[in-house]
This record gives sequence, C-alpha cells and structure tokens, in this order.
Amino acid sequence: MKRQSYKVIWMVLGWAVFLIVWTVLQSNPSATNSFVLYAIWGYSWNLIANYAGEISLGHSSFAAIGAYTTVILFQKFNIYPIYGWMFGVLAAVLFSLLIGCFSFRLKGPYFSLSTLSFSAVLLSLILHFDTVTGGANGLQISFSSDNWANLEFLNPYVYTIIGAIFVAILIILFYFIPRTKFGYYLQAVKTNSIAAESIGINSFTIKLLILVLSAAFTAIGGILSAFSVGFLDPNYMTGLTLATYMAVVPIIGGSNFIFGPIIGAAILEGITIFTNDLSAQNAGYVNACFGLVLMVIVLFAKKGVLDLLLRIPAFFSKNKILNNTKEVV
Amino acid sequence: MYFIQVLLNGLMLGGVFALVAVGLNLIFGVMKIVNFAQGEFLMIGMFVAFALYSLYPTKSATDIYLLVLPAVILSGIFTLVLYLLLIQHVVGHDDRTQILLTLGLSFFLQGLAQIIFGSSFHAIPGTMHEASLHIGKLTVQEGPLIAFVVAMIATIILSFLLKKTFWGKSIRAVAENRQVSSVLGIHSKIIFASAFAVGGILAALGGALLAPYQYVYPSVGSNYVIIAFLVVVIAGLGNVNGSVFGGLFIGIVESITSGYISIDLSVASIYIIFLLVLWFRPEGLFSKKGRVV
Repeated sequence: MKRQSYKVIWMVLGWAVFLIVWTVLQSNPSATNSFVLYAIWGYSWNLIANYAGEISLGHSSFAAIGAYTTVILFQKFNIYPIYGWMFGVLAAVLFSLLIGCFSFRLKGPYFSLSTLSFSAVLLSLILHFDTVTGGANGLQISFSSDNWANLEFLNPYVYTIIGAIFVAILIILFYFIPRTKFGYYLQAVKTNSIAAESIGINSFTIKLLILVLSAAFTAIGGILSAFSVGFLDPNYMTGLTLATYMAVVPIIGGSNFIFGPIIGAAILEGITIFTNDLSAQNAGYVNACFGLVLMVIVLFAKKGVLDLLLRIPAFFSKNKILNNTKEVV
Repeated sequence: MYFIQVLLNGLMLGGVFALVAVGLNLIFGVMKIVNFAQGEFLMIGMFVAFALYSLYPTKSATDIYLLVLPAVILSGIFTLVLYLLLIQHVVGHDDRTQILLTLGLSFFLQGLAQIIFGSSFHAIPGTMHEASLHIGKLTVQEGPLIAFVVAMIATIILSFLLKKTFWGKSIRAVAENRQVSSVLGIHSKIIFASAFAVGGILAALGGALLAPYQYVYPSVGSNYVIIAFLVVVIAGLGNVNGSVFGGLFIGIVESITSGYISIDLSVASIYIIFLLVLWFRPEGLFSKKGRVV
C-alpha cells in the first residue's frame, strides 16, 4: 500500500509539472483553462467508457445542468456560487440518475442515442423557459471585482489551479478505483454482466454509481467553464460538439492510460490553437482538423496516442515480446 | 380547419425526415453501422445543388429542379468514395469505433463546407421560398409539397427494388447473415458499398429537394440526422417501410406540438416520444420481431 501511494504522488506531481510547462509555453490563460477543462471532462467521460463500457453522447448535459443551476441560483435567488456549486453538482447527479435508470437498459448505439436525446430535451427546456434561463441568448455572468463568494477572480489562473486540483483528484480516483472492491465489481460487469449478476453483483446499481461519479465531475467542469468564461451558451453547453469533445479527449490520448485524457486534452487544445492561428474568422478549420485527427486516430491508433508512443521502441526492436503493450500504471 | 392545416404541414415536414431515415436505416440494417454523417450527406446534396445553381444560374422554378438529378449523382459518387476510403475499414467493428469514425467524418465534412462556402446562410434565389397553393382555406407551400411527393416516390421505388430485384434480395440476405450469403455467392463488399451509396444518395436527394426553398448552411444536417436516428429506432432496425411511416409520424408530431403548444418544445416532444418507444418497445413500433430489412 505504501509503495502504491508513492506512485500516485509521482503521477500527481507529473500532472503539476506538465501543467506548469504548458502554462509557461502557452502564456494564454484562456487556452490553459480550456485545456484543464477538457482534461476534467475527459476523465469524467472516461469513467463511463472505461468502467461501464458504454459510449455516452449526452455528457454535455451534466455540464450544462451544473452550470445553469449554479448561475440561476446566484442570479435569481442570491445563493453565492461558493455554496451554489454543490447544488449544481446535486442537480447533475439527480439528472444522471434519471438518465441512468433509463439508458442502462439499452446497449451499444441505443445507449448513445438515448443519452443524446436527454441532452436535446434539456436544450429544448432551456430554450423554452427563457425567463429563467435567458433562452437562446444564454446567461451573462458579470464581473465586478475579486470575490471568493461569487467565484470571481480577476486572475484567470485561479480557475486553472482549481481545475488542476480536480484533475489531480480524478487521477487519484483512476488509480485507486481498479484496486478496490467496487473496481473489481465494475470490471466484472463490464467484461460479462450476466456472469457478474450470477455471482450476486447488482450490475445496474454499479453502473449507476459510476455514472453519478462521472456526472458530478462533469458538472464541476461545467461550473468552472461558466465562471471562467463569464458566459453560458445553451447551444454549446448541451450540444453534440461538446459531448464529442468530451468523448474524444480520452480516445485520442488513450483511454486505458491514466495520463490519456491529459495528453488528449493537450492535443485537442493544440488543434484549437493551431487552427486559430490559421484562420480566426473561419470556424471551419477547427471542425475539419478535429474531424481529420479523430478519423486518423480511429483508423490507425485505436488505443490512442500514448499506445502508439509505447509501441515505437518495440517497432524498431526485433524482440516481438515487447509488442504486447503494457498498461502504464 | 387549423388542425388539418397543421397535419398537412407535418406531412410535408415528415417527407424529408422519411427520406433521410430510410437511407440511414438501409445502412444501419445492412452494415450495423451507426452513421452520424448521414446529416452531412444531406448537407452535401444541398451544397452541390447550390453550387450547380451558382455555376448555371437559372431563372424559373422548373429549371431549379432540373439541378436535382446531377446534384444527386455527384453526391452519390462522393458518398461512394467516402465509403471506399473510410467506412469500409470499420464494417464489422465495435460500436465505439463506428460511432467515432462517423462523428469524425461529420465534423470533417461540416468543416470543409465552412472553409469552402463560409458559415453564413446561402439561398437559391427564386420564387420557391414563398410559393404556395391555396385549396379552399388550406395553404400548401409548393417547395415542401414537391419534396414530399418526390420523397414518397423515391421510397416506393426503393421498397420495390428491395422486394423484387436480385440486388434487393442480396441486401436482405447480407443483412440477415453475412457468412451464409457469402457462401451462396453474394459479394458482400459490393452489396455494402452499394447500400451505403444508396443511403447517401437518398439523404442527398432530400438535401437537393430542400435547397430551392430553404437556407443552405454547413450545419444544416444536424437538424435532420438525430431526428432520422430517432425515426429509425422508432420504426425498427432495418424496417424500410416502417421508416417512411415513422418519418411522417415524427413530422406530424413536431407540427402538432409547435402548432398547439410551443415551437421550442417541438423538438423535445419528438425526443420524449422516442424515449417512450425505447422504454416500451425497444424493437420498434412497426417491427415484427426478428425481421431485418
């Protein structure tokens, strides 16, 4: 146990070093923030993909519910975001229970489509009740001064640090979940749910638990995103684009690796920065580049970039035993 | 009277849904591929029609509809090329790979259209945007009416092909069991490619029919693709005739919701119906169990 905890400390330190290097090289706070957010969302989405084996395309709805709940509580009921974020997370968790109870009866593409549908219903509701939610115009979060209670910081790197702490928590979670009883249950359910049921594991509850965990962290990402950008756009927050980004971050990086989502987030943010330099006016370049990278990854590196990197030494060596990639833990 | 008007609008709307959904269902039923790029095929049909119009500006409405056939042929070639380049490598793979590949393709095609044509709204100028017929107190817009009629004809032709021709029987055989049909001498690769191309062509035809009276813009497909998915699930996998009725049904539901309740909730109503269908009849409303294509 002792040696294990050392490993986790090294991983968190690795994340800290990575982030500091990124920040120094980037020197653009908004890009750094969105990189950290992608990492949070990537890890959250990966919880479902890795431990429940399902592809969710409605994950953006959790971010939207968390952010909207927090901001509406603040603007309409004067509940400070420093407390309000908990209600936001709670709302996302309740919503995820609704989705989970419904969608986990379904398999494969049906699961993906039903999660997508929940997002779409949520978007319609947000647009319909525009007196509360601001409708299609979204919600503006006004900044006055540095204020802890309102989650307003003039220094944008404060959001980065908060986000980075949550990424660290997720790294620790990812490290310890497979080593707990709960993790063994998850693995059993993912591998063969019928066999798992037969030895007394309630697969439905297990999947719901992991979905709740995933939704909570996704909501935290959504809240951070809302306050760091200062604006809530309903079409973006509940859209398929954000949901796809969440899914693609771990897939690009390598969803079996603890550092996968971080690498994926860096690549995704890199694409955004690169295409912005290419042409800031035309959004087409982002989409085209993103689609191209995604297709290349899916066709040529199913297990992600990290897996490719690990194969390089084996590729050049004659020793074929090395070709079986090991998990980096 | 108002109710009949709402029903008519729903039917017109449903015609294009049906067209996109039938193509999607063909691909879904034969290859078990969830094609998220189907909406972009519709977008391609629209843009090819628009580009053809820009090259050969025509004056009258009938001439605009003459562009539909070349638009469909060009889009068909394009989808076939896409299939050979990308999709054929993931046939028979797991859902995750297929979903992500077609999602990536969808992003890529949207981005390409944005780079070439810009993100703004284009329109084929002409009278079709406003043209409507008056039958008693009912108003029928000409553009949607033409789209509806052509869509119905196309689906009837496809249904006939699937039932009567060797190609259609091969498609059904491959959908039923790929190994056995290969043993019987059916080239499943050719069948897959042709089914995918036909699915793409149907979506592009929908797009080309929408182009004369609707705005053309890169993300137009996303309005249709998810609804088409819902139609496919509601109709039942591989049930082509069911998709037609499903499409019309969804169109009517959307029209009734926006006519009587609220235009914002029209989309939500469709999704809620979809979720109810998934809950009570996961195999689809019009499906006899175990029937494929």
